[in-house]
Amino acid sequence: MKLYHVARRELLQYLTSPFAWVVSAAFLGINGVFFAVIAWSFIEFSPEAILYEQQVSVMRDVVAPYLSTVGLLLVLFAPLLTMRVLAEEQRSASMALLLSSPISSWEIVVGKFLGLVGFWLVLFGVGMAYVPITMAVGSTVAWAPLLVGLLGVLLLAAAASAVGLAASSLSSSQMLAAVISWAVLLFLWIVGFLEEFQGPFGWIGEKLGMMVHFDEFTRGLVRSGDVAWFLLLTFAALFVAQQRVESHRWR
Amino acid sequence: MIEVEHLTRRYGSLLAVDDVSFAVRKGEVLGFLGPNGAGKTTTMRILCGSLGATSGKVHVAGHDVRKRSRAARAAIGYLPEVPPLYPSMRVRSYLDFAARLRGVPRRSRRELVDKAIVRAGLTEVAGRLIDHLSKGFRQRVGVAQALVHEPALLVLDEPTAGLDPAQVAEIRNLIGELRGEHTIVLSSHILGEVRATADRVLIINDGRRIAGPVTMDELRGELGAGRRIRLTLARPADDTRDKLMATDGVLEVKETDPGRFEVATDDRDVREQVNRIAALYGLLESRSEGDLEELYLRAVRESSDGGEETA
Repeated sequence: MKLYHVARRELLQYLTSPFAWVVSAAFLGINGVFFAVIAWSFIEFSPEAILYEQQVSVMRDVVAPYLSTVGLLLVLFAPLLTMRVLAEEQRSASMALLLSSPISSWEIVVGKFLGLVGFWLVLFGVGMAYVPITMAVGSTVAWAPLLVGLLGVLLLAAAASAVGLAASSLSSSQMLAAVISWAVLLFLWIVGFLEEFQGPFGWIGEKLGMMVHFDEFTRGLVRSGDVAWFLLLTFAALFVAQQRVESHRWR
Repeated sequence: MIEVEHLTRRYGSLLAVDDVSFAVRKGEVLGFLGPNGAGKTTTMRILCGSLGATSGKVHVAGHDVRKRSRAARAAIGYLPEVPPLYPSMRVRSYLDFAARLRGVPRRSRRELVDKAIVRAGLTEVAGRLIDHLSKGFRQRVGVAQALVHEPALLVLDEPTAGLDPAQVAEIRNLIGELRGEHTIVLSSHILGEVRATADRVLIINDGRRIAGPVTMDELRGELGAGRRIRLTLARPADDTRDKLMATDGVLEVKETDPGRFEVATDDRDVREQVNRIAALYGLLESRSEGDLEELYLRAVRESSDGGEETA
Protein backbone atom coordinates (compact mmCIF):
# COMPACT_ATOMS: atom_id res chain seq x y z
CA MET A 1 0.00 0.00 0.00
CA LYS A 2 2.88 2.34 0.83
CA LEU A 3 4.28 1.46 -2.59
CA TYR A 4 1.17 2.89 -4.16
CA HIS A 5 1.46 6.16 -2.23
CA VAL A 6 5.07 6.71 -3.26
CA ALA A 7 4.32 5.78 -6.88
CA ARG A 8 1.27 8.05 -6.94
CA ARG A 9 3.19 11.07 -5.68
CA GLU A 10 5.97 10.43 -8.16
CA LEU A 11 3.54 10.15 -11.06
CA LEU A 12 1.70 13.33 -9.99
CA GLN A 13 5.03 15.10 -9.69
CA TYR A 14 5.83 14.26 -13.33
CA LEU A 15 2.36 15.09 -14.57
CA THR A 16 2.58 18.56 -13.00
CA SER A 17 6.20 19.29 -13.83
CA PRO A 18 6.78 21.69 -16.76
CA PHE A 19 10.26 20.26 -17.22
CA ALA A 20 8.89 16.73 -17.67
CA TRP A 21 6.40 18.00 -20.24
CA VAL A 22 9.06 19.84 -22.23
CA VAL A 23 11.25 16.73 -22.29
CA SER A 24 8.26 14.56 -23.22
CA ALA A 25 7.19 16.93 -25.97
CA ALA A 26 10.68 16.88 -27.49
CA PHE A 27 10.79 13.08 -27.22
CA LEU A 28 7.37 12.60 -28.81
CA GLY A 29 7.97 15.31 -31.42
CA ILE A 30 11.15 13.72 -32.69
CA ASN A 31 9.49 10.31 -32.65
CA GLY A 32 6.65 11.73 -34.70
CA VAL A 33 9.02 13.19 -37.29
CA PHE A 34 10.75 9.83 -37.65
CA PHE A 35 7.43 8.05 -38.00
CA ALA A 36 6.30 10.48 -40.68
CA VAL A 37 9.54 10.10 -42.62
CA ILE A 38 9.46 6.31 -42.40
CA ALA A 39 5.78 6.12 -43.34
CA TRP A 40 6.18 8.53 -46.28
CA SER A 41 9.12 6.70 -47.75
CA PHE A 42 7.14 3.46 -47.43
CA ILE A 43 4.23 5.04 -49.31
CA GLU A 44 6.62 6.40 -51.96
CA PHE A 45 8.59 3.27 -52.55
CA SER A 46 6.24 0.39 -51.89
CA PRO A 47 4.40 0.62 -55.31
CA GLU A 48 7.78 0.47 -56.98
CA ALA A 49 8.86 -2.47 -54.86
CA ILE A 50 5.66 -4.30 -55.68
CA LEU A 51 6.28 -3.56 -59.33
CA TYR A 52 9.58 -5.41 -59.08
CA GLU A 53 7.79 -8.21 -57.21
CA GLN A 54 9.55 -7.55 -53.94
CA GLN A 55 7.72 -8.28 -50.71
CA VAL A 56 6.57 -5.29 -48.72
CA SER A 57 5.40 -5.37 -45.11
CA VAL A 58 4.16 -2.54 -42.94
CA MET A 59 5.49 -4.39 -39.95
CA ARG A 60 8.97 -4.88 -41.35
CA ASP A 61 9.34 -1.65 -43.29
CA VAL A 62 7.55 0.83 -41.02
CA VAL A 63 6.94 -0.46 -37.51
CA ALA A 64 10.28 -2.17 -36.95
CA PRO A 65 12.49 0.78 -38.00
CA TYR A 66 10.19 3.17 -36.17
CA LEU A 67 10.36 1.19 -32.92
CA SER A 68 14.14 0.97 -33.21
CA THR A 69 14.24 4.74 -33.39
CA VAL A 70 11.90 5.00 -30.39
CA GLY A 71 14.32 2.78 -28.48
CA LEU A 72 17.34 4.95 -29.22
CA LEU A 73 15.45 8.17 -28.46
CA LEU A 74 14.23 6.64 -25.22
CA VAL A 75 17.80 5.91 -24.19
CA LEU A 76 18.68 9.53 -24.99
CA PHE A 77 15.70 11.14 -23.24
CA ALA A 78 15.07 8.88 -20.23
CA PRO A 79 18.04 10.23 -18.21
CA LEU A 80 16.56 13.73 -18.42
CA LEU A 81 13.36 12.46 -16.84
CA THR A 82 14.94 10.23 -14.22
CA MET A 83 17.86 12.39 -13.09
CA ARG A 84 15.87 14.20 -10.41
CA VAL A 85 14.09 11.18 -8.97
CA LEU A 86 16.39 10.62 -5.96
CA ALA A 87 19.06 13.31 -6.44
CA GLU A 88 16.48 16.03 -5.80
CA GLU A 89 15.34 14.37 -2.58
CA GLN A 90 18.92 14.13 -1.43
CA ARG A 91 19.64 17.77 -2.22
CA SER A 92 16.53 19.24 -0.63
CA ALA A 93 15.96 17.71 2.76
CA SER A 94 12.87 15.77 1.72
CA MET A 95 14.70 12.43 1.92
CA ALA A 96 14.30 12.73 5.69
CA LEU A 97 10.52 12.47 5.31
CA LEU A 98 10.83 9.13 3.54
CA LEU A 99 13.56 7.79 5.80
CA SER A 100 11.72 8.65 9.01
CA SER A 101 8.40 7.23 7.81
CA PRO A 102 7.42 3.63 8.48
CA ILE A 103 8.41 2.54 5.00
CA SER A 104 11.31 0.41 3.77
CA SER A 105 13.99 1.46 1.32
CA TRP A 106 12.61 -1.11 -1.13
CA GLU A 107 9.22 0.56 -0.96
CA ILE A 108 10.82 3.95 -1.63
CA VAL A 109 12.79 2.71 -4.63
CA VAL A 110 10.15 0.44 -6.16
CA GLY A 111 7.44 3.05 -5.55
CA LYS A 112 9.43 5.66 -7.42
CA PHE A 113 10.18 3.15 -10.16
CA LEU A 114 6.49 2.35 -10.61
CA GLY A 115 5.71 6.08 -10.72
CA LEU A 116 8.21 6.46 -13.56
CA VAL A 117 6.81 3.47 -15.44
CA GLY A 118 3.34 4.96 -14.96
CA PHE A 119 4.52 8.17 -16.57
CA TRP A 120 5.96 6.28 -19.55
CA LEU A 121 2.62 4.50 -19.95
CA VAL A 122 0.81 7.84 -20.03
CA LEU A 123 3.37 9.15 -22.49
CA PHE A 124 3.11 6.19 -24.85
CA GLY A 125 -0.65 5.90 -24.46
CA VAL A 126 -1.32 9.54 -25.25
CA GLY A 127 1.63 10.41 -27.42
CA MET A 128 1.92 7.39 -29.68
CA ALA A 129 -1.65 6.45 -30.29
CA TYR A 130 -1.14 7.74 -33.83
CA VAL A 131 0.85 4.64 -34.75
CA PRO A 132 -1.97 2.05 -34.77
CA ILE A 133 -4.44 4.71 -35.98
CA THR A 134 -2.30 5.55 -39.01
CA MET A 135 -1.78 1.90 -39.72
CA ALA A 136 -5.49 1.20 -39.51
CA VAL A 137 -5.95 3.67 -42.36
CA GLY A 138 -5.44 1.69 -45.55
CA SER A 139 -4.32 -1.58 -44.00
CA THR A 140 -5.38 -3.98 -41.30
CA VAL A 141 -3.40 -3.68 -38.12
CA ALA A 142 -1.46 -6.77 -37.17
CA TRP A 143 -1.99 -6.41 -33.46
CA ALA A 144 0.20 -9.22 -32.19
CA PRO A 145 3.56 -7.99 -33.54
CA LEU A 146 2.63 -4.41 -32.67
CA LEU A 147 1.89 -5.35 -29.06
CA VAL A 148 5.13 -7.30 -28.90
CA GLY A 149 6.95 -4.21 -30.10
CA LEU A 150 5.21 -2.17 -27.45
CA LEU A 151 6.19 -4.73 -24.82
CA GLY A 152 9.80 -4.24 -25.92
CA VAL A 153 9.49 -0.47 -25.62
CA LEU A 154 7.98 -0.83 -22.15
CA LEU A 155 10.72 -3.21 -21.00
CA LEU A 156 13.31 -0.80 -22.35
CA ALA A 157 11.62 2.15 -20.64
CA ALA A 158 11.52 0.19 -17.37
CA ALA A 159 15.20 -0.74 -17.60
CA ALA A 160 16.19 2.83 -18.51
CA SER A 161 14.13 4.14 -15.56
CA ALA A 162 15.78 1.69 -13.18
CA VAL A 163 19.25 2.66 -14.42
CA GLY A 164 18.24 6.32 -14.04
CA LEU A 165 17.08 5.65 -10.47
CA ALA A 166 20.36 4.00 -9.62
CA ALA A 167 22.35 6.87 -11.16
CA SER A 168 20.17 9.39 -9.33
CA SER A 169 20.76 7.61 -6.04
CA LEU A 170 24.52 8.03 -6.33
CA SER A 171 24.72 11.73 -5.59
CA SER A 172 22.66 14.83 -4.96
CA SER A 173 23.65 16.26 -8.34
CA GLN A 174 21.03 15.84 -11.05
CA MET A 175 23.58 16.66 -13.74
CA LEU A 176 25.86 13.89 -12.54
CA ALA A 177 22.90 11.49 -12.42
CA ALA A 178 22.00 12.29 -16.05
CA VAL A 179 25.59 11.85 -17.22
CA ILE A 180 25.94 8.53 -15.42
CA SER A 181 22.73 7.10 -16.81
CA TRP A 182 23.63 8.27 -20.32
CA ALA A 183 27.04 6.64 -19.98
CA VAL A 184 25.55 3.33 -18.84
CA LEU A 185 22.64 3.25 -21.29
CA LEU A 186 24.60 4.41 -24.33
CA PHE A 187 27.39 1.98 -23.55
CA LEU A 188 24.89 -0.87 -23.37
CA TRP A 189 23.26 0.34 -26.58
CA ILE A 190 26.42 0.86 -28.60
CA VAL A 191 28.16 -2.32 -27.43
CA GLY A 192 25.51 -4.11 -29.49
CA PHE A 193 27.31 -3.04 -32.69
CA LEU A 194 30.05 -5.53 -31.78
CA GLU A 195 27.54 -8.21 -32.72
CA GLU A 196 28.75 -7.94 -36.32
CA PHE A 197 32.19 -9.22 -35.36
CA GLN A 198 33.36 -12.80 -35.05
CA GLY A 199 34.80 -14.33 -31.88
CA PRO A 200 34.66 -13.02 -28.32
CA PHE A 201 33.78 -9.43 -29.30
CA GLY A 202 30.82 -10.61 -31.28
CA TRP A 203 29.75 -12.71 -28.34
CA ILE A 204 30.00 -9.72 -25.97
CA GLY A 205 28.03 -7.58 -28.39
CA GLU A 206 25.33 -10.18 -28.74
CA LYS A 207 24.97 -10.84 -25.01
CA LEU A 208 25.49 -7.35 -23.63
CA GLY A 209 24.01 -5.20 -26.36
CA MET A 210 20.75 -3.59 -25.35
CA MET A 211 19.97 -2.85 -28.99
CA VAL A 212 20.39 -6.52 -29.93
CA HIS A 213 17.83 -7.66 -27.37
CA PHE A 214 15.50 -4.77 -28.10
CA ASP A 215 15.46 -5.29 -31.88
CA GLU A 216 13.97 -8.76 -31.51
CA PHE A 217 10.85 -7.17 -30.04
CA THR A 218 10.61 -4.64 -32.86
CA ARG A 219 10.52 -7.55 -35.28
CA GLY A 220 7.61 -9.00 -33.37
CA LEU A 221 9.59 -11.73 -31.64
CA VAL A 222 9.32 -12.46 -27.92
CA ARG A 223 12.23 -14.54 -26.73
CA SER A 224 12.47 -15.41 -23.05
CA GLY A 225 16.18 -14.57 -23.11
CA ASP A 226 15.48 -11.00 -24.23
CA VAL A 227 12.74 -10.51 -21.65
CA ALA A 228 15.04 -11.92 -18.97
CA TRP A 229 17.84 -9.59 -20.08
CA PHE A 230 15.73 -6.48 -19.52
CA LEU A 231 14.27 -7.76 -16.24
CA LEU A 232 17.73 -8.60 -14.97
CA LEU A 233 19.06 -5.15 -15.80
CA THR A 234 16.02 -3.58 -14.14
CA PHE A 235 16.36 -5.60 -10.94
CA ALA A 236 20.11 -5.04 -10.76
CA ALA A 237 19.71 -1.28 -11.11
CA LEU A 238 16.87 -1.19 -8.55
CA PHE A 239 19.05 -3.14 -6.16
CA VAL A 240 21.83 -0.56 -6.47
CA ALA A 241 19.34 2.24 -5.80
CA GLN A 242 17.89 0.41 -2.78
CA GLN A 243 21.35 -0.14 -1.32
CA ARG A 244 22.13 3.55 -1.75
CA VAL A 245 18.91 4.63 -0.08
CA GLU A 246 19.47 2.22 2.79
CA SER A 247 23.04 3.49 3.15
CA HIS A 248 21.68 6.90 4.12
CA ARG A 249 21.13 5.39 7.52
CA TRP A 250 24.79 4.45 7.74
CA ARG A 251 26.57 7.50 6.44
CA MET B 1 8.45 6.78 25.99
CA ILE B 2 12.11 6.86 24.96
CA GLU B 3 14.92 4.89 26.50
CA VAL B 4 18.42 5.49 25.24
CA GLU B 5 21.21 3.32 26.61
CA HIS B 6 24.88 3.88 25.87
CA LEU B 7 24.18 5.35 22.47
CA THR B 8 27.28 5.88 20.34
CA ARG B 9 27.51 7.05 16.77
CA ARG B 10 30.67 7.51 14.71
CA TYR B 11 31.08 9.15 11.33
CA GLY B 12 34.31 7.55 10.26
CA SER B 13 36.82 8.62 12.90
CA LEU B 14 34.60 11.40 14.22
CA LEU B 15 32.73 10.54 17.40
CA ALA B 16 29.43 12.41 17.07
CA VAL B 17 27.61 10.80 19.99
CA ASP B 18 29.59 9.21 22.78
CA ASP B 19 27.93 6.81 25.20
CA VAL B 20 24.82 8.86 25.89
CA SER B 21 22.02 7.45 28.05
CA PHE B 22 18.77 9.07 29.04
CA ALA B 23 15.04 8.45 29.24
CA VAL B 24 12.07 10.53 28.25
CA ARG B 25 8.82 10.15 30.17
CA LYS B 26 5.45 9.93 28.56
CA GLY B 27 3.82 13.32 28.11
CA GLU B 28 6.80 15.49 28.96
CA VAL B 29 8.63 18.03 26.85
CA LEU B 30 12.36 17.38 26.84
CA GLY B 31 14.78 19.97 25.51
CA PHE B 32 18.14 19.00 24.01
CA LEU B 33 20.51 21.82 24.70
CA GLY B 34 23.99 22.13 23.30
CA PRO B 35 26.08 24.19 20.93
CA ASN B 36 26.07 23.51 17.21
CA GLY B 37 27.82 20.25 16.44
CA ALA B 38 27.15 18.83 19.90
CA GLY B 39 25.39 15.74 18.57
CA LYS B 40 21.79 16.87 18.99
CA THR B 41 20.78 16.30 15.40
CA THR B 42 22.57 12.95 15.22
CA THR B 43 20.78 11.76 18.36
CA MET B 44 17.41 12.90 17.01
CA ARG B 45 17.97 11.26 13.65
CA ILE B 46 18.75 7.99 15.43
CA LEU B 47 15.55 8.29 17.49
CA CYS B 48 13.60 8.72 14.25
CA GLY B 49 15.20 5.83 12.44
CA SER B 50 16.66 7.97 9.68
CA LEU B 51 20.15 7.15 10.94
CA GLY B 52 21.56 3.97 12.45
CA ALA B 53 23.49 3.87 15.71
CA THR B 54 27.04 2.56 15.88
CA SER B 55 26.26 0.95 19.21
CA GLY B 56 23.84 1.22 22.06
CA LYS B 57 20.14 0.59 22.49
CA VAL B 58 17.29 2.91 21.65
CA HIS B 59 13.67 2.10 22.46
CA VAL B 60 10.88 4.31 21.23
CA ALA B 61 7.33 3.64 22.46
CA GLY B 62 8.53 0.22 23.55
CA HIS B 63 10.02 -0.70 20.17
CA ASP B 64 13.71 -1.27 19.56
CA VAL B 65 14.53 1.17 16.73
CA ARG B 66 16.94 -1.31 15.23
CA LYS B 67 14.91 -4.50 15.38
CA ARG B 68 11.42 -3.05 15.10
CA SER B 69 12.31 0.04 13.17
CA ARG B 70 9.01 0.30 11.34
CA ALA B 71 6.84 0.16 14.43
CA ALA B 72 9.11 2.67 16.16
CA ARG B 73 8.98 5.05 13.20
CA ALA B 74 5.20 4.80 13.06
CA ALA B 75 5.04 6.24 16.59
CA ILE B 76 7.14 9.30 15.72
CA GLY B 77 6.62 12.59 13.97
CA TYR B 78 9.92 14.13 12.99
CA LEU B 79 10.75 17.68 11.99
CA PRO B 80 14.38 17.80 10.83
CA GLU B 81 16.52 20.92 10.99
CA VAL B 82 15.54 21.73 7.42
CA PRO B 83 11.85 20.87 6.93
CA PRO B 84 11.55 17.95 4.47
CA LEU B 85 9.30 19.67 1.95
CA TYR B 86 8.54 19.16 -1.73
CA PRO B 87 8.55 22.71 -3.14
CA SER B 88 6.47 21.74 -6.15
CA MET B 89 3.57 20.40 -4.06
CA ARG B 90 0.68 22.29 -2.58
CA VAL B 91 0.45 22.38 1.21
CA ARG B 92 -2.65 20.20 1.43
CA SER B 93 -1.50 17.52 -0.97
CA TYR B 94 1.92 17.48 0.68
CA LEU B 95 0.32 16.85 4.09
CA ASP B 96 -1.92 14.24 2.51
CA PHE B 97 1.19 12.48 1.18
CA ALA B 98 2.85 12.66 4.61
CA ALA B 99 -0.28 11.13 6.15
CA ARG B 100 -0.27 8.32 3.57
CA LEU B 101 3.39 7.58 4.23
CA ARG B 102 2.73 7.37 7.95
CA GLY B 103 -0.04 4.89 7.37
CA VAL B 104 -3.10 6.99 8.16
CA PRO B 105 -6.09 4.99 6.89
CA ARG B 106 -8.06 6.50 4.04
CA ARG B 107 -11.22 7.24 6.03
CA SER B 108 -9.51 9.45 8.59
CA ARG B 109 -6.95 10.99 6.27
CA ARG B 110 -8.89 14.05 5.24
CA GLU B 111 -9.95 14.79 8.78
CA LEU B 112 -6.41 14.52 10.14
CA VAL B 113 -4.94 16.63 7.34
CA ASP B 114 -7.54 19.33 8.03
CA LYS B 115 -6.78 19.14 11.72
CA ALA B 116 -3.03 19.53 11.14
CA ILE B 117 -3.66 22.50 8.84
CA VAL B 118 -5.74 24.25 11.50
CA ARG B 119 -3.34 23.44 14.32
CA ALA B 120 -0.28 24.67 12.48
CA GLY B 121 -2.13 27.80 11.37
CA LEU B 122 -1.94 26.99 7.68
CA THR B 123 -5.59 27.54 6.74
CA GLU B 124 -4.90 30.57 4.57
CA VAL B 125 -2.08 28.88 2.61
CA ALA B 126 -3.47 25.33 2.35
CA GLY B 127 -3.87 25.63 -1.42
CA ARG B 128 -0.58 27.35 -2.13
CA LEU B 129 2.60 25.87 -3.56
CA ILE B 130 5.16 25.25 -0.82
CA ASP B 131 7.75 26.93 -3.05
CA HIS B 132 5.87 30.22 -2.67
CA LEU B 133 5.68 30.19 1.12
CA SER B 134 7.72 32.31 3.52
CA LYS B 135 10.22 30.69 5.85
CA GLY B 136 7.83 30.95 8.78
CA PHE B 137 5.07 29.16 6.90
CA ARG B 138 7.45 26.51 5.64
CA GLN B 139 8.50 25.81 9.20
CA ARG B 140 4.84 25.44 10.13
CA VAL B 141 4.25 23.06 7.24
CA GLY B 142 7.21 21.12 8.65
CA VAL B 143 5.53 20.97 12.06
CA ALA B 144 2.23 19.98 10.42
CA GLN B 145 3.79 17.02 8.58
CA ALA B 146 5.31 15.85 11.86
CA LEU B 147 1.98 15.79 13.69
CA VAL B 148 -0.44 14.88 10.88
CA HIS B 149 -0.64 11.21 11.92
CA GLU B 150 -1.02 12.17 15.59
CA PRO B 151 2.10 10.33 16.76
CA ALA B 152 2.70 9.62 20.41
CA LEU B 153 6.11 11.25 20.08
CA LEU B 154 7.14 14.45 18.33
CA VAL B 155 10.82 15.07 17.61
CA LEU B 156 11.50 18.67 16.60
CA ASP B 157 15.02 19.63 15.61
CA GLU B 158 15.61 23.35 16.25
CA PRO B 159 11.98 24.23 15.56
CA THR B 160 12.52 27.97 15.94
CA ALA B 161 15.94 28.41 14.35
CA GLY B 162 16.09 31.23 11.84
CA LEU B 163 12.60 32.57 12.51
CA ASP B 164 11.75 36.14 13.45
CA PRO B 165 10.60 36.83 17.03
CA ALA B 166 6.89 36.79 16.15
CA GLN B 167 7.25 33.46 14.37
CA VAL B 168 9.29 32.09 17.29
CA ALA B 169 6.43 33.03 19.60
CA GLU B 170 3.93 31.29 17.30
CA ILE B 171 5.91 28.07 17.21
CA ARG B 172 6.33 28.21 20.99
CA ASN B 173 2.59 28.62 21.38
CA LEU B 174 2.01 25.69 19.08
CA ILE B 175 4.36 23.53 21.11
CA GLY B 176 2.52 24.68 24.21
CA GLU B 177 -0.77 23.50 22.69
CA LEU B 178 0.71 20.14 21.74
CA ARG B 179 2.08 19.59 25.23
CA GLY B 180 0.26 16.85 27.07
CA GLU B 181 -1.17 15.22 23.96
CA HIS B 182 2.23 14.29 22.66
CA THR B 183 5.57 13.54 24.21
CA ILE B 184 7.90 16.11 22.69
CA VAL B 185 11.64 16.14 22.24
CA LEU B 186 13.03 19.39 20.87
CA SER B 187 16.49 20.79 20.45
CA SER B 188 18.04 24.21 20.60
CA HIS B 189 21.39 25.83 21.13
CA ILE B 190 19.74 28.61 23.13
CA LEU B 191 19.07 28.08 26.80
CA GLY B 192 16.21 30.58 26.87
CA GLU B 193 14.48 28.66 24.12
CA VAL B 194 14.58 25.41 26.05
CA ARG B 195 13.60 27.16 29.25
CA ALA B 196 10.54 28.61 27.55
CA THR B 197 9.27 25.35 26.11
CA ALA B 198 10.66 22.32 27.91
CA ASP B 199 9.81 20.61 31.19
CA ARG B 200 13.23 19.08 31.46
CA VAL B 201 16.53 19.71 29.81
CA LEU B 202 19.37 17.48 28.63
CA ILE B 203 22.65 19.22 27.91
CA ILE B 204 25.07 17.61 25.51
CA ASN B 205 28.36 18.80 24.12
CA ASP B 206 30.94 17.08 21.94
CA GLY B 207 28.66 14.06 21.82
CA ARG B 208 28.60 13.59 25.59
CA ARG B 209 25.87 14.13 28.12
CA ILE B 210 26.84 16.98 30.43
CA ALA B 211 23.71 17.30 32.50
CA GLY B 212 20.16 16.06 32.74
CA PRO B 213 17.55 15.30 31.94
CA VAL B 214 16.59 17.55 34.83
CA THR B 215 14.18 20.38 35.42
CA MET B 216 15.48 23.90 35.09
CA ASP B 217 15.56 24.29 38.87
CA GLU B 218 17.55 21.11 39.29
CA LEU B 219 19.91 22.10 36.52
CA ARG B 220 21.71 24.65 38.65
CA GLY B 221 22.64 22.00 41.14
CA GLU B 222 23.60 19.48 38.51
CA LEU B 223 25.95 21.89 36.77
CA GLY B 224 27.81 21.94 40.02
CA ALA B 225 27.36 25.40 40.30
CA GLY B 226 27.76 27.58 43.18
CA ARG B 227 27.66 31.20 42.42
CA ARG B 228 30.39 33.69 42.20
CA ILE B 229 30.25 37.30 43.30
CA ARG B 230 32.79 39.81 42.06
CA LEU B 231 33.31 42.82 44.28
CA THR B 232 35.22 46.03 43.73
CA LEU B 233 35.94 47.85 46.98
CA ALA B 234 37.22 51.39 47.52
CA ARG B 235 38.77 50.75 50.95
CA PRO B 236 39.71 47.11 51.40
CA ALA B 237 41.19 46.34 54.79
CA ASP B 238 43.22 43.48 56.20
CA ASP B 239 40.18 41.83 57.71
CA THR B 240 37.96 42.13 54.61
CA ARG B 241 38.75 38.65 53.47
CA ASP B 242 38.13 37.09 56.88
CA LYS B 243 34.87 38.95 57.30
CA LEU B 244 33.63 37.74 53.97
CA MET B 245 34.74 34.19 54.70
CA ALA B 246 32.83 34.23 57.96
CA THR B 247 29.54 34.63 56.10
CA ASP B 248 27.48 31.47 56.07
CA GLY B 249 27.46 30.00 52.55
CA VAL B 250 30.72 31.53 51.36
CA LEU B 251 33.22 28.89 50.33
CA GLU B 252 36.21 30.86 49.17
CA VAL B 253 37.39 34.45 48.84
CA LYS B 254 40.18 35.48 46.51
CA GLU B 255 41.70 38.92 46.08
CA THR B 256 42.40 38.94 42.38
CA ASP B 257 43.70 42.54 42.24
CA PRO B 258 44.04 45.12 44.98
CA GLY B 259 40.47 46.02 45.87
CA ARG B 260 38.93 43.33 43.68
CA PHE B 261 37.53 40.21 45.31
CA GLU B 262 36.03 37.08 43.95
CA VAL B 263 33.66 35.37 46.36
CA ALA B 264 32.63 31.79 45.66
CA THR B 265 29.45 30.63 47.36
CA ASP B 266 27.43 27.46 47.49
CA ASP B 267 23.94 27.00 46.09
CA ARG B 268 22.34 29.43 48.49
CA ASP B 269 21.76 32.99 47.46
CA VAL B 270 23.90 35.05 49.86
CA ARG B 271 24.31 38.16 47.73
CA GLU B 272 22.55 40.32 50.28
CA GLN B 273 24.78 39.28 53.20
CA VAL B 274 27.96 39.59 51.14
CA ASN B 275 27.02 42.99 49.83
CA ARG B 276 26.18 44.21 53.35
CA ILE B 277 29.69 43.36 54.50
CA ALA B 278 31.23 44.77 51.35
CA ALA B 279 29.42 48.04 51.97
CA LEU B 280 31.55 48.50 55.11
CA TYR B 281 34.64 48.67 52.87
CA GLY B 282 33.37 51.13 50.31
CA LEU B 283 31.49 48.94 47.83
CA LEU B 284 31.89 50.33 44.31
CA GLU B 285 30.59 47.44 42.30
CA SER B 286 29.09 44.04 42.93
CA ARG B 287 28.44 41.63 40.12
CA SER B 288 27.06 38.18 40.71
CA GLU B 289 27.63 35.40 38.25
CA GLY B 290 26.00 32.05 38.32
CA ASP B 291 23.16 32.95 36.13
CA LEU B 292 21.97 29.77 34.40
CA GLU B 293 23.13 30.99 31.01
CA GLU B 294 26.65 31.53 32.33
CA LEU B 295 26.67 28.19 34.09
CA TYR B 296 25.64 26.54 30.88
CA LEU B 297 28.34 28.28 28.87
CA ARG B 298 30.93 27.44 31.47
CA ALA B 299 29.89 23.79 31.52
CA VAL B 300 30.11 23.65 27.74
CA ARG B 301 33.49 25.36 27.69
CA GLU B 302 34.91 23.08 30.37
CA SER B 303 33.65 19.92 28.69
CA SER B 304 35.07 21.08 25.35
CA ASP B 305 38.50 21.59 26.92
CA GLY B 306 38.31 18.12 28.36
CA GLY B 307 37.28 16.80 24.98
CA GLU B 308 40.33 18.22 23.27
CA GLU B 309 42.64 16.54 25.71
CA THR B 310 41.22 13.11 25.08
CA ALA B 311 40.92 13.55 21.32
